[in-house]
Amino acid sequence: MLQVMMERAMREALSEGADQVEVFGVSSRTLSVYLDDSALKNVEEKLDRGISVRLARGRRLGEASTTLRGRGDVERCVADALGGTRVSQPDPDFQGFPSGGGDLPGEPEPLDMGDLVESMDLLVSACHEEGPVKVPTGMLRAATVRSMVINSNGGETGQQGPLTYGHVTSMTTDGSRGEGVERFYFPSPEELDFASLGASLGRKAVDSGRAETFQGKEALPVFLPPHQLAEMLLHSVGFAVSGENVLYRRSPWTGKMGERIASRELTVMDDPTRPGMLSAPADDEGVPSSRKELIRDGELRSFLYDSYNAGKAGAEPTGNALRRSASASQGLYRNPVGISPMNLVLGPGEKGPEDLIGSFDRALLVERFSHPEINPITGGFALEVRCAHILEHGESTRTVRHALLVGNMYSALGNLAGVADDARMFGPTVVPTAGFHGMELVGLGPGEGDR
Amino acid sequence: MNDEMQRAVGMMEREGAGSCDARYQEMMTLTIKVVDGTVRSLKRDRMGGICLRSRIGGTWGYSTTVDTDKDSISRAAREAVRQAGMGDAPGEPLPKAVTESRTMGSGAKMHPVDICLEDKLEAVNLLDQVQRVDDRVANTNSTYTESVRKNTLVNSFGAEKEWEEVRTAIGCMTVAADSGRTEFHYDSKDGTKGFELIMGSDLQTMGAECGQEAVKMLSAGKPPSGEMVCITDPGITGTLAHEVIGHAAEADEVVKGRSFLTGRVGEQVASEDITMIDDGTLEGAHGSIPLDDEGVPSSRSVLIQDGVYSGYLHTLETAATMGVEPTGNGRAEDYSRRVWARMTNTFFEPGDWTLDEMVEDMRYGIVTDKPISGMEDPVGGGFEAQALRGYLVEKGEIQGMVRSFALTGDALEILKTTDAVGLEFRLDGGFCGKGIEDMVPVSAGGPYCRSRIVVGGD
Repeated sequence: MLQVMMERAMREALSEGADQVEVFGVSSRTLSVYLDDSALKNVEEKLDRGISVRLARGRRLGEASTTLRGRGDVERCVADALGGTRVSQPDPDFQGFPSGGGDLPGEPEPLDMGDLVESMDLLVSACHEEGPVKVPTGMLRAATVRSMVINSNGGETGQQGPLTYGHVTSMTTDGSRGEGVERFYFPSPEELDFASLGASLGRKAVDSGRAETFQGKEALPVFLPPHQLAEMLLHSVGFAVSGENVLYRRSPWTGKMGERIASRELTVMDDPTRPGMLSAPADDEGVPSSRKELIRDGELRSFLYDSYNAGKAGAEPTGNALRRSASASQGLYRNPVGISPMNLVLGPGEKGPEDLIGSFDRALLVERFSHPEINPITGGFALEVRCAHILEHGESTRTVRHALLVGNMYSALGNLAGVADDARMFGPTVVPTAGFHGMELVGLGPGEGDR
Repeated sequence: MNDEMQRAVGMMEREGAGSCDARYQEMMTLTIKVVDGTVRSLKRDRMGGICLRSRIGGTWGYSTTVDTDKDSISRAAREAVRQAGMGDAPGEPLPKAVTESRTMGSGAKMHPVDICLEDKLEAVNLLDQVQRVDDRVANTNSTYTESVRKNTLVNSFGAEKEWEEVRTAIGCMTVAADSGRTEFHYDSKDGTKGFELIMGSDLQTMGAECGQEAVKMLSAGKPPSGEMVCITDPGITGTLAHEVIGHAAEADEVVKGRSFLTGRVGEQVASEDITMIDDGTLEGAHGSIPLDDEGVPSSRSVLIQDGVYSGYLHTLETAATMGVEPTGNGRAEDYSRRVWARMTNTFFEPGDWTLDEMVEDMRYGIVTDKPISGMEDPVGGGFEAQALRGYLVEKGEIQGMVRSFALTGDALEILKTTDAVGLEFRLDGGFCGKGIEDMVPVSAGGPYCRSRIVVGGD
């Protein structure tokens, strides 16, 4: 039904005067279970279907999207997109929608709600075994998402697959205010070890409950585990290699192609040929994807493009135009096309994280920030540490919280202390633990002057 | 549609639901983005669908679909009841608080559907053009958005409600670059208003000042680090109100003991100068709603009165659990999302200090200027916010500008140190997530406040 409606939208747009048309469509079935206080609180099934239409009359562009509910939705969406072309100015940078592509996907495998309920039961039981801990909130989502893109230049491709995303918290029940958080992403729930996740969640709450308020300041090597480093790399490297950000001079790496922008030991790829949440043979414009070196031995090697910005830059599109998400399955047709790595991979090291961190006299291993957010334009950050370990020769001597970790991510890439071998999938990334010099931990205590 | 919804509610009751409702929504959104003087996106979006929600014991079954024919709605109704039966959460019967039928308009004076596209485009083009105040402006970005959300709710208490929400926003961000350094500045205006929000805005000044401030930031210095006297601007004050106290006041966190404010009603938790409110009835504010997504009228809830903790924000269910009246805070991002206890417009009440008086009284410290982000910590009560920039204060005088930095600490400890609350008051609109997702429109704000806070930045 989705494909039929997409083709109808294409015919309608061409018959109403569009010169070029692209139709992106998604249908999804999402099952979710929510936990409250370790009990099953919400059980949900969600069915969704919609399209996005981009079209051009000459070089005047228009775009619209709609949920496909019934009669008239396709025609209204096309009319909305055409309406945009009547007021917009010709865009000299528009080069057309890409041609070519691959296969359209078939029907997805069915999902079972019972599997989700059992998985969460397993996680909660394992968490409870770690001490005085409960699971106050938790969500597990499994979805089948079928996306397609067709265009009037003969482009036609699509993706279909399962998506599993969970976000669960734990907390101590002994009054110590300890909290643990696990977010996990996998293409399929069968690939997840829910007992291990539950045990890890319980330990994190207990660790956090033991954490002391950090006092004073200290500069020391800082190691970031995969679930924190992944987001920091997406906010920095992911932003800086976007061809759009380079064209608009928002990227700090504008004009630095071929220059050394990181330590020699650092190699970062976008590798959609490896398993990943968004890995696929083509992007959401239908452009074939490929493995690309973004940073090789510390040197900047490539930028990422969608078709529009590639045309503007005089480059080829790289297959990095995405509307899909690593965690969401609903309303994807509403998302604008954005440039993003499909599967950001940080080249792993050879040592395990324990051996690597153990080789330093003193180091900080962050368990959790409040939110690992980087200022993508400057790279600056000052992140609230909610739980971290100070280690001496690999042994934890203190667990701390209520402190800020201060640094700059673009500078940190040039001050690498080491990369471990424990790469893990997190969102659209596969990232191991890595350590950096040049950061400072700032805690409670007298500052620079006083009232 | 209303007849089909009534039929679905009847079916869920017959299938065994204790309480149930049907929510149908249509949302129309227009977004115009102009970058460096070129329209990069002009997009209309129409979304809609129906949610059938059923409760057995304390477990909810949700079934949502975009197919609104009779058979699809019947199937979804049966699924909602079946799913509610899979859980074992305990729960009190819901209060019959939503029984009357009602239809409410948005109150927009210049409804967006009555304004031509050309006028909207002209506004956002002007905003983009005037940001280019200097050769060091590297990139200009301007966005106009409008949304019209039409809601219909039918529930098992016999109520049938229809209401509309209209929101309009315009914002800009300027990136400035010089000698290898890059900084940005932003500004925005938003509210539960129509195009009158744009007509009442001085876009020329807004855009030009954004450009000028981005350029000034190229010479901002390194921020200090450590615990110090800090005057939080209305934006950062609002971040503290929203992220720490507001999220912890959401009663679904309280009933399971996840909030650090659990059991603290009547306790002195802040300086006597502090009064904090959540108010969904404020005319024109971005977080205002006539009714929540369970059909309960929004209200003004006092969270802290003169430093004493006073109450929580409720859904129908948490009100039943705690034996109080619902407050109209049961909100969902859209028809396909869960209803949670959520904030509306959350703020500290103003005091009587001017900013100059606060600064004159300081030997050393910092004044924040605009928030970038913040994060909640209902379990630990920790405060975390990122300021876009700030100003150092030495010997009672404002000195140089410093670049972005963070603020952190135990929120209640910070509020106990608050010794000056300002006159000037502002609310900033935005969107709030819970558990990372489920974004709902809110606003947060307050006055300038002087407290002791840990700050740090690169």
